[in-house]
Amino acid sequence: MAKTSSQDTIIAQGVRVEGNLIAEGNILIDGEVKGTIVTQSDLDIGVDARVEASIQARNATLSGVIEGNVRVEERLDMLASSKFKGDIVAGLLSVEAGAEINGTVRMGVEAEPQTISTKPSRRGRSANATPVESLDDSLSS
Amino acid sequence: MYLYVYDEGLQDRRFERDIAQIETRLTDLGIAGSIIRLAFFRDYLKTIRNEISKGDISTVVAVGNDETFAKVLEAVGDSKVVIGYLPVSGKNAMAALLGIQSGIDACPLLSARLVQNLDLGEVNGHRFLHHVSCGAIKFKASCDDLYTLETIDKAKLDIVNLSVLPEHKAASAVDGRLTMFAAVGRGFIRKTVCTTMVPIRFMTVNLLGPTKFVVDSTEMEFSKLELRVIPGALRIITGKDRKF
Repeated sequence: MAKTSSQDTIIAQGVRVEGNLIAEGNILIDGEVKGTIVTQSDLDIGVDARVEASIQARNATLSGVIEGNVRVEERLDMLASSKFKGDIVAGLLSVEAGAEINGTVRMGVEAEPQTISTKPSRRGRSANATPVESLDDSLSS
Repeated sequence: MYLYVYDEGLQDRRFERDIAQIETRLTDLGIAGSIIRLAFFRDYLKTIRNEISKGDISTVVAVGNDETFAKVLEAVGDSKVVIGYLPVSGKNAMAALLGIQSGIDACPLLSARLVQNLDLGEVNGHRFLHHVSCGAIKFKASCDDLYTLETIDKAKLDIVNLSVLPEHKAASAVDGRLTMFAAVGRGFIRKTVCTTMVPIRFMTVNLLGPTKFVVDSTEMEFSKLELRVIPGALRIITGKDRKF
């Protein structure tokens, strides 16, 4: 991943996140995340990470233990240490020997990615936000 | 018109000559103005705000050190005046960040009036320019009403607006966000430090009890933190060598 900028998010070891992790910049995860992960940029899930979430990213590199559905617009790399359970939709997929995938894989999907509001409301959800449950619904359709 | 707020420490005789030279230089540059001298027994907030409310103050200049600057920052609040800084005595970490020289060398920068709009942070009603920090604590935070973030072990907590330290260089005071850093020691004798970094617009941190924090240069004690960023709230005179 490129040099860290002020828009990047890093969840390091020793930290647990629960909810909708929505970011505009790159996301790097080495800790625990449960819920939803959405970024318009790149996602990197490290070898020590434990993720139980629906994922949407432009590019993604997965190394750790991931359970959930993944939608990647461009390139998805599954590294040798990754253990994945869920469904994948990706533009381009690369799987290293040793990676474990349990689920379905769909390639080159033409449909527009689900849009999820990246603007947090001050209190409660904004009226225009797409419910995050629809990410899972679209993958199972 | 300029309002100069003098730190109470400048009444010491060892600053007499420096202050005289500075005042002469400001007059030569055409930016002399009215002067308020802070004193231990005076309410600095009321004193500064009274002057600003008269309506003809365009710029308030803190003359002294980082503590003086913090007082002026708090007093100015939501008014539209521009803030300046003329470092003379004591701790001046903020000056280097803003690209401002010390003493008489700061006068031309004030006259050049290179104004930047910076974000401000606010914690429990107190405004800060640089950071809020605490030693190692376990905490649970609610971030932007989107997710909760919890440390499994104790972590050193820093919420940074304008970064000073190299490890916080990713934080920016012009991006409309604060950046939270939580550094956790891992491994044998906690030698390895793993740092979580999260940009936020607002955050609530629940603590186990009253905890000491440093807000810019001031120590405060809180049982709960309510933090938010105020984008572009601060209009401040900077130098060309500013660090942002």
